[in-house]
Amino acid sequence: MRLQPEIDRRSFLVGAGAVAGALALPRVTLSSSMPPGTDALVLVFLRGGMDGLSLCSPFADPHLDSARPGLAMPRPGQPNGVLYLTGFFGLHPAAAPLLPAYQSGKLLFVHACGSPESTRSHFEAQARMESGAPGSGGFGLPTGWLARHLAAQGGLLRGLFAGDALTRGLTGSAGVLPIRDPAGFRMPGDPASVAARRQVLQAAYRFSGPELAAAADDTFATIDLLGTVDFAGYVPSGGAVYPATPFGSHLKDTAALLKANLGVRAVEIDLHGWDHHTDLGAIGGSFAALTGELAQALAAFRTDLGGGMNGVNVIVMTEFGRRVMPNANQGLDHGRGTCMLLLGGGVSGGRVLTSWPGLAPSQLHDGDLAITIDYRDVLAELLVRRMGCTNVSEVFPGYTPVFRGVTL
Amino acid sequence: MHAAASRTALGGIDRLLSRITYGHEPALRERAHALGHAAFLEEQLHPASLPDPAGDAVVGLFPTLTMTTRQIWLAHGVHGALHVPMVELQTAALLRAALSRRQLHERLVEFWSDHFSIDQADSQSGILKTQDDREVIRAHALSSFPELLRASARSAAMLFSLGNYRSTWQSPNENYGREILELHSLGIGHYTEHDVREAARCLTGWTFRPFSDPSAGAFRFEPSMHDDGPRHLLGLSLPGGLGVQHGVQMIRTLALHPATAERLARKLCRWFHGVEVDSLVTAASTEWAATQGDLRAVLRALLAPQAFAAAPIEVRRTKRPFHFAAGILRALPFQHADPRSLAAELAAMGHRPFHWPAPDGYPDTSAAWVGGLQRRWAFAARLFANQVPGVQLDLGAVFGSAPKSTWARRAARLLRGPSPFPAEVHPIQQYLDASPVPSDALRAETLALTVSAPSFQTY
Repeated sequence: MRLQPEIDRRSFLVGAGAVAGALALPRVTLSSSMPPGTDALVLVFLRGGMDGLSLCSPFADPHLDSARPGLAMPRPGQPNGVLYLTGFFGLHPAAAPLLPAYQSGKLLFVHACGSPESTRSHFEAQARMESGAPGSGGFGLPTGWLARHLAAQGGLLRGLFAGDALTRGLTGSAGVLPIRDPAGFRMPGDPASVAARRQVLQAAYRFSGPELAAAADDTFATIDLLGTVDFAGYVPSGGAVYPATPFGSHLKDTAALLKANLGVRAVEIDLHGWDHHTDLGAIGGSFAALTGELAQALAAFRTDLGGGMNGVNVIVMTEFGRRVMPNANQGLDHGRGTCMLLLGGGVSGGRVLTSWPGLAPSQLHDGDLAITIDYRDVLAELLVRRMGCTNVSEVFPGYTPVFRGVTL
Repeated sequence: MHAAASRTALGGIDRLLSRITYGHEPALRERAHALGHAAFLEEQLHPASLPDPAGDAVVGLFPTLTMTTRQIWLAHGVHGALHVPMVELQTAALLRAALSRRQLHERLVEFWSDHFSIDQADSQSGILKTQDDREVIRAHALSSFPELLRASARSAAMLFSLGNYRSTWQSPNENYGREILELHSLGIGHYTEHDVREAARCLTGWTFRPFSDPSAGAFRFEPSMHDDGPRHLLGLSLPGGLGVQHGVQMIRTLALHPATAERLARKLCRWFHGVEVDSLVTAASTEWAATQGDLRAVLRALLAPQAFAAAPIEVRRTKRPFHFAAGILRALPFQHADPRSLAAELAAMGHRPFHWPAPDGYPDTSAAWVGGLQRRWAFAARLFANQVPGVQLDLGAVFGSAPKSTWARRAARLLRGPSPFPAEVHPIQQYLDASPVPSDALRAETLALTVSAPSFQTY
């Protein structure tokens, strides 16, 4: 079943260019054929440790009910039951908006996946995961895996973080900025004196330290680039309705940005609040609400981009999963294995990719879901096969990724 | 030789000011030069004995700052108006940083507010953080670390935000047990997962009185929730039956542990000097051990004249947006009738106080913040154009009758003190020379350009 017409990336771009006037898109000169491996990446990082056993629940695992007293969700077909994905896994009911993408083969779950870490610290796990060097000790490398990929690519604005302070994953490349509000990213003050004041600042920053000088260069170039897009007047396509939350509006801005074809290769958006030590609220609670927000926003993004999704891949990942056994507060402490989501044109989806380790006590790793797929396998395959990455040994130093067929 | 030494000493005082204050302000600079480095530092290390009418006036602007948790709950919480105490505390933080004479104290309040980070946006924390700010962070910013750590562990805001208030012996919640080891004391690599579990058990039963209680927000130890068995962690053996003393003794051990001393010495060294200087870290850690975590002694080791001689002069550290904004408000005579909109301005720069969503506090690296230049420029433009509601600057009075040909230099002196950067002053003055009419708009642009230039982004 295909819900979206299949249009290749080039025809999407031609189509987008044709309505440039209406959307105030920049003038884009299209080459006769897009180079291979030019997909854009949207990285959604779920901060706090998302419980993969609640999002993509192994309802047929014989040990689920005993391992998760009080927190296991009903089976498919029962009230509040999980939604059928496979004979073994069910999707959290609040994630129902993602079902069409799954059914049309564009959404992949990778389960019992994660970073081979012994740490249960959020910050250590995130830092090492985002630096692309799990198990490296301390807080990993000073630069991020995504930044090292982008550093080898070209372009003025290669990547951006939809927020305030740049994340570890995006630290270490030129042409990457934190931009919470792309509509407001311009030279402030009286339009009549903008050009002259800008010259003053450009002159002043020429004599600053290298870090500030580079940041100023990026800022001026990005002001020019984003000034060509009418974010405030942007109307999503296909009747897409984003949740009225910061996450929803970041995804909406991202859609506008990618449609404008400015050369942005990666956007990171973070969604906080997954650290469910108390009251997981799998059904009708905190976890369900966050999952609903995530699913609605991603579904809207997919509708909005339409055929443009052929050139865009979304990765949803988190630093670790949560412990299998609940604590006294109906919550879950920090765990290990969890699931990743891949959504997009380049994804070989409609399935749950896993080498399921099982939930029997003897199958758990210190009480956690064991990790059988390294998160770097998933990311590296996407970078190499869809994003033109030729420096994967720098992106994930000391690791030889195993391609597991997550891409088409 | 003597001349060179005195030049260094003189430069040292301005360097000291740049490291331990939120920016230039003539009266404090005069005071520092009159007292000299060591005596001025000593004065700043004893904030309680420094009269501070400007800082007190800020407190007077915001009623919730002096309310108990119960009063805040009754006045605002029951009506769902949590934004009132939240915004008041955020705005007060910025104005005290800008206006208080106790500048070192304010710099430490910012430091500890991130070290013991609490996100007001996390439900009850919006009400509880005011008490935590007053009774934990501000009360102990310059006392001893064991007392600070203990106060934080008894703080309702901390017990709530890391979930410890509901942790029981049947199944302890490890969240706070982990973060007190990882974030608040020892740091990564100095404890095991076993220690985390034991720490969580030591702290079971540490909770606080709810809003319905007349002593809402007060610490409460609940024996029925506590795991009173023997505990073994970090080389410490605690017998069973100790009750609240399990946690108390563990916290003292954590606070005085060499790993804690070194980690905090490094963090403080980076905060003030912009870089970790091994000899200063060693000196500060030694003081930590010798004085049982007396923060004044530790800070002397990091900030005394001989410490500045050991720290590299050339390091310029990027200010975070809070520091940037405080530096502007500090340098010029703004009228702030109702300055609460400043909290939204900080949010627009990504740095609303007490709003980092994770317990590790706002990042403290240049790399994290250096990409936010455009938002600083936008804030400066709005502020000096008097477009931030409730905050006004008399632009005419700032420049007086000075001719336009001197404005760029004047603005630099007012905002940065007596060390002009010709590479910045010159292009601004050129811009002014090319603008025919002296107007308030042009005065505002002069000031905005001055604080938008690179030298104002670092300290």
